[in-house]
Formats: sequence, C-alpha cells, structure tokens
Amino acid sequence: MTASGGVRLAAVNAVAADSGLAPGMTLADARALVPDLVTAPSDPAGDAAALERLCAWCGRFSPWVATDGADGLILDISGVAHLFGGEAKMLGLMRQKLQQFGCNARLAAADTPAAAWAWARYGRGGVLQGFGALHDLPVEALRLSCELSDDLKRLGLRLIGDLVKLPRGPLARRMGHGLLERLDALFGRREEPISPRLPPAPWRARADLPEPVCTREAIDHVLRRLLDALCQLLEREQRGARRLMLHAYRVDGIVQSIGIGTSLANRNPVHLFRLYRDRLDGIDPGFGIETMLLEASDCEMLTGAQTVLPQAKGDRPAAIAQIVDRLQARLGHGAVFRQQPVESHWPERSLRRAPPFARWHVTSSPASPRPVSLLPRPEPVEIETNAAGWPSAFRWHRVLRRLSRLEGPERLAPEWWRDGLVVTHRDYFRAEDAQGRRYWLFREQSAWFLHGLFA
Amino acid sequence: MGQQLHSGVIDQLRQQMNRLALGGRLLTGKICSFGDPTLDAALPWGGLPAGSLHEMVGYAPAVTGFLGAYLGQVRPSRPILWITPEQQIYAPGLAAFGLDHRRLTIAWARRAQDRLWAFEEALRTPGYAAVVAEIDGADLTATRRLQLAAESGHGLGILIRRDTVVSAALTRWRIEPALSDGCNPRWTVSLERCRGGQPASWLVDWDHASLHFRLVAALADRSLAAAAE
Repeated sequence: MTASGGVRLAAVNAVAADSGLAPGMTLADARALVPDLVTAPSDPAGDAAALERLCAWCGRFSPWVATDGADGLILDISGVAHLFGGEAKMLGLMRQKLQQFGCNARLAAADTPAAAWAWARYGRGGVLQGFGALHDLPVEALRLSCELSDDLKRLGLRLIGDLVKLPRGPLARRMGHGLLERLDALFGRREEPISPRLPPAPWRARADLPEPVCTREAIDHVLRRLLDALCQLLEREQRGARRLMLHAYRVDGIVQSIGIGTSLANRNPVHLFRLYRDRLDGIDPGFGIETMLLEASDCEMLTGAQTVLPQAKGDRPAAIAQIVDRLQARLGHGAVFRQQPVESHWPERSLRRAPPFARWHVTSSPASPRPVSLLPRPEPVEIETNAAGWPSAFRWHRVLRRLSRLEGPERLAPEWWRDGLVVTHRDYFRAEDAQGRRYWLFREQSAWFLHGLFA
Repeated sequence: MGQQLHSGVIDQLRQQMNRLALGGRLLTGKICSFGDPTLDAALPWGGLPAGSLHEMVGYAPAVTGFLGAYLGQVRPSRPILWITPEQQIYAPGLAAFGLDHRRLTIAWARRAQDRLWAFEEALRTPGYAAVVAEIDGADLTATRRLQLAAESGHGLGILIRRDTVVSAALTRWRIEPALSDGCNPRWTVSLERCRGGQPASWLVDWDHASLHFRLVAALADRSLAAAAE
C-alpha cells in the first residue's frame, strides 16, 4: 500500500498480529519489529474477485448470499439451517470446508444481519442466542464511522451496553439519527435487507453428496435425481421451466454453473436431461463435486400431465417443442428461428428473427414478386448497357450473365426517419439471363447491385 | 368384372413394387401429392410417400422455389423445418409459392456434421410435414440412417445436395431454371432416379395466381437422365 507516508501494511496474518504488527503500520516500522517479515503487494481487485468466488460457493448453503464490505459475506439462513442439522452444525461445516481451502474465517450466526456482523468481528463468533451478549461489545461493533465511535469514546461511552441505557431522544439529538438506526438494526427493531448476489430461484433441488463424485456417470445420475425432484415440485405447482441452472460445487471451492433454456415451458425430466447431456462435458469435476444444486430460474404456468416422452400422435406439438430445444442447445439459441414480417418495405428490414414458436397474423405481403434467396448484403456488380442505356449483361462472381429480360423499376425509398437522409432510394429490377436464371438487381445512384435470386 | 380384376392385379403389383423399393418393408405413409396429375403419375406411389427420404439437386434458387411450391401443399397444418448453412432463405419470396412463413422454422448450422445430426433427429420427430436439409457428401450409409429416421417419424425428408452419389433416397429430382414466359417461374423438372419408377423430365411453370404447378411440356430426354445415372 503506497499512501502518504510510504509503504504501509494492508493486512496481517495471525502470527504477525501476535508479534505486534497491525494494518496501517509503515513497512519500515514493521521490519524493525520483525526483521524476517514476509510481505506481498496488496491486490484489492484480486481480493474482491476471490470474495466473489467465495460468495458463489456459499450459494450451496443458502440462496440469499451477498458480499458485505471488502472482507465479509452475509447469508440469510432462515429456513435452511435445518438442512445442515441446525445453525451450530451448519457453522461447523462451513468452518471445516473453508479450512480445507486454507481459508481462515470468523463465523457467526445471529438474529439480525447487524448482530451477526458484530458478533463475527468483535464477539466470540458462533451462534449468538438473543442479544444480551452484545451489550459487552465495543461501540465499533455497531459499524459506525471512525469519527462517530471516537466521539462516543471521548464521552466515555465505550460499550454498546452504555448506549442502550441512555434515553433515545437526547442520544439522537447529540449524536445524530444514524446511531439510533444502527442500534435498531442491531437489535432487530428495524429491517435490514440483504441484497443477494443473484436473486434466488423459488424452485430448486439440491443434492449433498456423502462422497464427492468425479465420473460423468455419477454426475449424470445425480442430475437425473435432481431433475426428478425439481419436476415433481414443478408438477405440484402446475409450472414448467423455461430456464434451468445447474451449479456444481467442487471440493476445492470452485463453482461451475451450466444453464439451459426451453422454447416452451417443460417439466419432463427425460427431456430436460437430454438437453443437459451434451452440455455436461463442460463440467470439470477436478478432485470431486460434493454438492449439486438445480434451479428453475424462469418458470411459466403449465397445467396437465407431462411425464412421458411424446410418442402418441396427439403429442406432436410437444415433440416439436422438444426437438427445437435440442436444436437450440446444440446449434445456439439464435440459430433456430422463424422469419416474421415487419412493417417495412426496405428489404433488409422487412423480416425479424422470431422465436420458433412465435405467432402472428398474416399482414399484406408485397405486391411485387420477391426473391426466394436474399444475399446477406447487396453485392456490387459490373453492368454492360445497350444502346438505350439499359443493362444488357452483368458480371457477378466473375461470370458474365447476358440478360434476355428486364422488368422494373420498382422504386423503394429508404425510411428517412431511421436512416436520416444518408441512404438514397433504390430502383429494383427483375432480370432473367439466357439460361432462365432470375435475378433481383437494383440501381442506387449510378451503381448497380445484386440483392437476390428468384426461383 | 374384367376391369375389377385388372385394377386388383395392378394394386397387388404396386404393393410388391413398394416392398421391393424398401427392401421388404411396405410403405404405409401418407402420400403427399404434387397437385399435378402428370407429376404424381410418374411416381409409383402417386406422390411422395411420407416417412421417406428424397433428394433434390440443381440450381439452388430453383430448387428452393420448386420445393416451397410443393411443400406449401403438403399437410398445411404441420410445420416445416429447413436446415441450412446459409442465411439466405427469404420467406416473403417463398410466400408467393404458397408456403406460409408461420409454418417455416429455419435451423442455421454452419458445420455439416451439425446439419446431419439435426436432420436425423428432426426426421425422427413426429409432427413435421417435412424436414429439409442442405447437406453435401451424405453417402449410402448416412442416407440409409436418414431413411430409417424418416420412417420412424413419418415425415417427409428432403435432402438438397450438390453432389450425386449412390444413395438410399427413394427419388432424386433435378430442378434447373428455364426461360420463362415473363410472369411465372419456369423450371426443367427431372425425375432422375426413382425406386420402382422411370426417369422423366418436364417443363413446369408455377402459376402464382392459382398456386399450382402447370405442365408446359414433357421433355423427351429420358435417355439423358438415364445416362446420368
């Protein structure tokens, strides 16, 4: 750290702290105290990224997880602690896992986020029962600004308990409303929301594996179980999934996530598994995956049974929805589409890529013939003209094509409200060469272009 | 009485031919007519049977137009999947051939093996009126697989290709442009290969007004087509 006054310590480990070192000390002073001090340049961006990764990893414990400051994580574990055998066991499991990654953490669970923050940093850690123990913590545990806590100490108010005894009115007048708000947050008299890293999906299924899995067969097996469980849940709620997200938590703390999408709401585990099958190759199990979590992040209402693969004739639409999902999973989401007409006569803009199940009413089609094949962009061509000044042949792909027929022009004007006045109008012609090949040519100012091929 | 006997014999022979055409299996799919008696009559099935594979070669836009015109008439309540390596299909042009945009789903795949995979999987899926794919280099084994996939999905499989190799497809068509009368497209349509049928060639117009094929002339170049075999 290179603030004013030279290089300073940004963080110290436990051994250094025991030797009397502290953050903020200059490197020279620190070296005087501990001559064989080992230092590394501080890397705030790297620290933040590591905290983000840890935050993602914590998703295995609770869907409501957020980073808290530069060095903290906060999880809402209401309603999930019982999955781990209670709050104390949950903290124990977390500590054990974190130690496996070489991560020393101070863990605390309490009834409010502010109390957990205080108990982790200034208390003994672990599960805090009630709020009584908080009275003995220093006022810094309220997460106040440095100036405010210094002011309080100058007044002799060193502990939270000292503040609680004072009447609220005078306290607010002397020290500001912020202090009361912090006190209320600490004791749960005021809601303090956690803004999670990602909004959690309401439909999820998780598998904590007794033994980490490494093989593809084992991963497939767990995924099938998760899909069965999730689809049962969706069936109860009469819903179908449009987007699924699978998170695989590795023993080394890496989280890998794979999402799939469906074109129509679906809760058929066999089909959803097939969509995942090609994508699971992207998962690297490393030394093993210990938890897998499947979430339906986007659901729609879906009534009726949908449990078997459609074989019967009546299930044709479902069969087509499934093949479209599989095509999209392999070819890419935008690669399967319909062409929906748009209110525009400018050829490049007359179509929109619509999703494969888009519906629309037929609007009037252009009165003049249109080619069956439109070049991605108009290609300039060389034109030969006859005595009257009309094209008699053009050269495209190095081949000279003699024209036996030319019909037109059909004048198309650009939409000035879209393009400004930059693009000039085009005169389109239908031309036929001596072999009967039919072309869609246009003239823009004096240049000629080929834009499409007729059947 | 004699007439009845006659037609009975002909039906039997037809079935026998069908069986031969598919190596012992009987074609049971719905017959998809061209809407033109001469074209239909050139085929032993009176149209193309659903649940089978067919090939088309020739000038690409002409193939697209001819196919659009044909598929517009095939099972209009069902969708069509078109698997292509290019981004050139222009639905407003196909609409003039009677093919509704809303039936047509386009799957765009640059790699040939992806197109082959998509074609086979889509052919297995019941519900499509037809699945069209533009793939070169599908050999006998690959086309056999595609034919079997089409049989299980009961849809029409159309393989557009630029090469002509030995194939398990029931028919191969060649569509080339011809000098038109000015308002309607005109093609030389050749049935180059047909299991249990004879090669034939026609000059065909598409009538945009009535949305029908119109036979201009039967061409007498069967020998040419046969030589191309």
